[in-house]
Amino acid sequence: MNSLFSRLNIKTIGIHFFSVFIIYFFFIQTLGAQNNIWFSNMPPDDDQQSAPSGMHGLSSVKGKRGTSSVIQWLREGTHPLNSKYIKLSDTDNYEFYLYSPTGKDSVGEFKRGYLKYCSKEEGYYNGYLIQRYVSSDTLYVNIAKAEMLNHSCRNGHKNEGKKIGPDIYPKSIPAEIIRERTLSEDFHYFALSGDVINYQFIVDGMPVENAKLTFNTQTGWQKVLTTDKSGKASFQILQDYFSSWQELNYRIVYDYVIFGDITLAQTGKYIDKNYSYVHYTTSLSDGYRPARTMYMSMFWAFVVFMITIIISVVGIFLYKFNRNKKYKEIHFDEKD
Amino acid sequence: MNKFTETDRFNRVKKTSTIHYNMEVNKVLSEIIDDFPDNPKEMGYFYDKFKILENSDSLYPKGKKIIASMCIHVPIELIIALDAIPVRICSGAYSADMAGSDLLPAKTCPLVKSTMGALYLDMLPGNAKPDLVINPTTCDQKKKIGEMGDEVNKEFYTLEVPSTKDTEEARQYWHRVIRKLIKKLESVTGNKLTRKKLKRSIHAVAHAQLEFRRFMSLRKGSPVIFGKDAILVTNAYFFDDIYSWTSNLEKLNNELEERQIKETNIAGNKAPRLLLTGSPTIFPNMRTPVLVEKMGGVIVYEEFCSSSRMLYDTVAVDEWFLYDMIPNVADRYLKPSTCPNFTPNDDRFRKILKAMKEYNIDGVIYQTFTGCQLYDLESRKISRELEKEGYPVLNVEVDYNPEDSGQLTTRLEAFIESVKDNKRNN
Amino acid sequence: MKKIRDYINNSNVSRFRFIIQILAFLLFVYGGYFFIHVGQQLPTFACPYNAGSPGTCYLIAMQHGLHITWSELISYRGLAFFIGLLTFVLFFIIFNKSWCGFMCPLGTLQDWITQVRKLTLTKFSRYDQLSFKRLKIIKYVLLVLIVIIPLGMSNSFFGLPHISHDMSAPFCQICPGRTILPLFSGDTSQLFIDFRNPVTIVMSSLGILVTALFFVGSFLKKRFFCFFCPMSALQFLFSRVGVLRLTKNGENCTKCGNCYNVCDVGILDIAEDITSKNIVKDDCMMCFKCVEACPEENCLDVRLLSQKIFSSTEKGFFKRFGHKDELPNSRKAKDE
Repeated sequence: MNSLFSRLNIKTIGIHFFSVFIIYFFFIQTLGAQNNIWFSNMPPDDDQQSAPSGMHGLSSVKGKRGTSSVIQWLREGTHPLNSKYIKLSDTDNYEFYLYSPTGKDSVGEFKRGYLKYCSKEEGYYNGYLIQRYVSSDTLYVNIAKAEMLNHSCRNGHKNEGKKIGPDIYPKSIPAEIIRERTLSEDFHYFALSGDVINYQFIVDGMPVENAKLTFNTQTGWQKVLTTDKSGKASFQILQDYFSSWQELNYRIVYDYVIFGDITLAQTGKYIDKNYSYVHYTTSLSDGYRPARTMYMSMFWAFVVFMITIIISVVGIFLYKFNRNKKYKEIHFDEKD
Repeated sequence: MNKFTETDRFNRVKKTSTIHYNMEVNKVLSEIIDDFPDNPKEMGYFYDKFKILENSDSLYPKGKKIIASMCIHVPIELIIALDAIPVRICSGAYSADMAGSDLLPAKTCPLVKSTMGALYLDMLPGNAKPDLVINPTTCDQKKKIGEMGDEVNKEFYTLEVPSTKDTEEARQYWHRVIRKLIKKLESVTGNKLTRKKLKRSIHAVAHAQLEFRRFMSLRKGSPVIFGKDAILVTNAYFFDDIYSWTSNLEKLNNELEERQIKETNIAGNKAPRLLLTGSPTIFPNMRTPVLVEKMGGVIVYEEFCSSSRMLYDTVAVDEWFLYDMIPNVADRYLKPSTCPNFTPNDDRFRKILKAMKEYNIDGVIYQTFTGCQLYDLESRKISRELEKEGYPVLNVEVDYNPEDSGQLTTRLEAFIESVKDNKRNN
Repeated sequence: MKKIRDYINNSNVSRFRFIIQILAFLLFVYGGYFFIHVGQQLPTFACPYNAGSPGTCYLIAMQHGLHITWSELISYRGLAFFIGLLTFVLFFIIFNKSWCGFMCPLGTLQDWITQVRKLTLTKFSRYDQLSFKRLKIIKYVLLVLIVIIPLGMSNSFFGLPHISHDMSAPFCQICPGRTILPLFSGDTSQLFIDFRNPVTIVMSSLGILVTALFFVGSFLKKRFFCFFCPMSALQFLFSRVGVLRLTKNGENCTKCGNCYNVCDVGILDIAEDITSKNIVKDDCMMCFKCVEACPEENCLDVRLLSQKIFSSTEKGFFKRFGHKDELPNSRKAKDE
């Protein structure tokens, strides 16, 4: 025992700690500098104005004449619940794009901490916020993407298959994640837990291999996958926690965010700094609902069905039996 | 000793009544056939039917039960479906009327007296010996003779006919009554009512009704047949086999159609077209139509329960099963019936008015039997309403006594003259 | 011209209707698979829950269209609702209530169930007149609820809280069309009980209960559901201006009651009413069985505006009921 302690030199320990601390500090710096920015549907607690609306439950504010504007907040972090809400001032360096389903750009604005646009067309609106900076020979491009579905049954359901997308905008957006549509998908789509969703990582309009995709759920669960040759990776949404009946009641939506990272060798100059690598970090956020089997039961429906049939058939037989036996008399009651 | 006298007396009465009956029948038939020229050839079948009323045993096939009935509320379809023979025994014989006077009060309607007399003396058409007599509770007098089954040695079955036909209660009651009747008929005939047989009999009766409708539509134009012949045709339906009646009527219709094409007019253009309604004219009590037509009028429509009321309105069925056929048959014998025993009876006036327009009728003769209260009571309203529409109406009281024709003849003559005048002036 | 008229008057409308019903059933249940789009304001149960539906039943459009606030009602959204209602009326006017008798898939289904009942030799049931008068009010009650509940979800009546959002499309939740019509495409997904909260439990149980009662009821009574159908009530409001009409000439009626006896729905007024000209009552589904069963000339007529296209005729009646076929040789009849 004594020998052990004598070996452990306080000085060595101190150096070890200090070096670990220094490395960690830099790591945090670099991690911090990577900026996982993403657009979230969840309003910060102090926001009273917005309310979820429409089929896809997007946060929105009501405007004049029955119009409403969709709002998505900019946040930073990997945890869907704990991420910070960040506000960018006009002096901060960023680019913002918002495309309508038919490809019209600049249909919305970004100020303070959120994007806002008036949803007029049917289909998916895509909003992007891009931040760039150079650090230690690498250009870091952080892209927050919001894909928002606008649909009202009043406008009919013609040609939904053609409008469904997904659309990419490689001219202005260097990297993005797209969610692949399923074959029978229409404008009423909402992911349910248990669904398998395919994502594809696109850089400059082409899919990339070996990109890292991280799926983050509300409870902090993470899954990391690498994209294959066609840039795709599939995640199956797990029901990672089981809510109370109350929560199911409120049409609860569980939010998730996906981050994609890849570092590519590319030389260039950004403002006044040179770089030989580009690191793309892009994000996509959405929500999923609990699977229908969580609260819908076909077994009990069958039970109710059979009980009703049995009771009504027996009731009718008894009624007819009574009528056949004796003539149904007219009754008088003794009320005054 | 008394018993012997009773039977003896009975036989004597029967013998004399039969002789009188045959005389009566022969006299009326000769008037109908010989006193009118140009009778349709096919009427021969119907004339013969009445000739063999006297003494034939072979009118009905042996082995089948005979179900006698009065009025038009007993569904013929049911009786035919149970392989029994329906015979309507409402009688027009004065001889039977005299015999019936012993059984019933003097002021009773002659039809009821005559029918009871015929039952008592077994003087029914074709010497029918009914196994059951269905007596519907329609007018007062028919209601009470239901208690006299013992006096005439026949089994009477009372058929409860409701007094209204519009209410739901009446309809439900009537359906129950008919179901009970079917059970009774099944026990009397020993047969079971099956779906196929009832369907067949519904079709048979409907076919008869179709021929009758054709017959009536042929009288809408210029007359091709006299009313006295039409009454004989419908009276034959009382006791004739339905299939042979229908096929012979079809032949008659064909002949009348040919007459129509040749534009035969048996009465002449100026003959007043008349509607006869009220207490039913039943052979051999044919005085009114024969007198009218001898005087130059022609009867183109009879609103009698022995004629158009009996043979109109056909059964329709949705599902050809007993549970649907029986209520529909029952309904047909209640709802469209314009018999005055129902109250209210506005349908009868509507029917007469419709006939007036369709058959181009100039005047109405409303006959009431002495003692018939129902037709008498209705005659006031109907006469008034018809006169409002501009049609002349003659109300006559008739009896079965052939001697009692004097006043009737005078009144009919006057009426027909006035109708002829009206027609000429218009 | 007379020849055509006679041919139509002698024809068997029930057989013609049977064929039209099959075609309409195929159209309204499977038409969507063949890319047929009929419209969103159909006066019949073309259920959108069924993937193969070529359109939408107007009731669902009505329920969604009324899910708006009072201020929206008097604004453009209210206008949109009235335009939808007008489209519905235009669809409806030409065929009038024969949409019910000839084209409704639920109606056709009930007629098929009636055929099954006939095979089992079971007697059909009828309502007595008192029950008839009382029960027919139910469809108006349902129609009023269809209007009030969606408005109550967006607005507050007399200061009471808003009706729960789970009551959205309240009639669709209890409609047997939602559960039964998708079964024809092999889709059993609507047979469930939703346990999220008391409202959904009650509504989904009611839906299953109504489905069970639909089968039991239409087995025993012809066109059982049609008596309670709010679409029928809604259609009746506009029935007077219909192009296809059913009229009666009371003078020719002998009150034989044949029309009432063959009526599937059991309307006594056709037989008893001799004064009205337009004889279409609120339960009538214009199947024209009454016209077929009437033996009087020109008593009941089917008209396009004022032009008769099908009348009750003596000849037609006797031909249709096969009354002319039965006349065996009298000797043969006597010997039987």
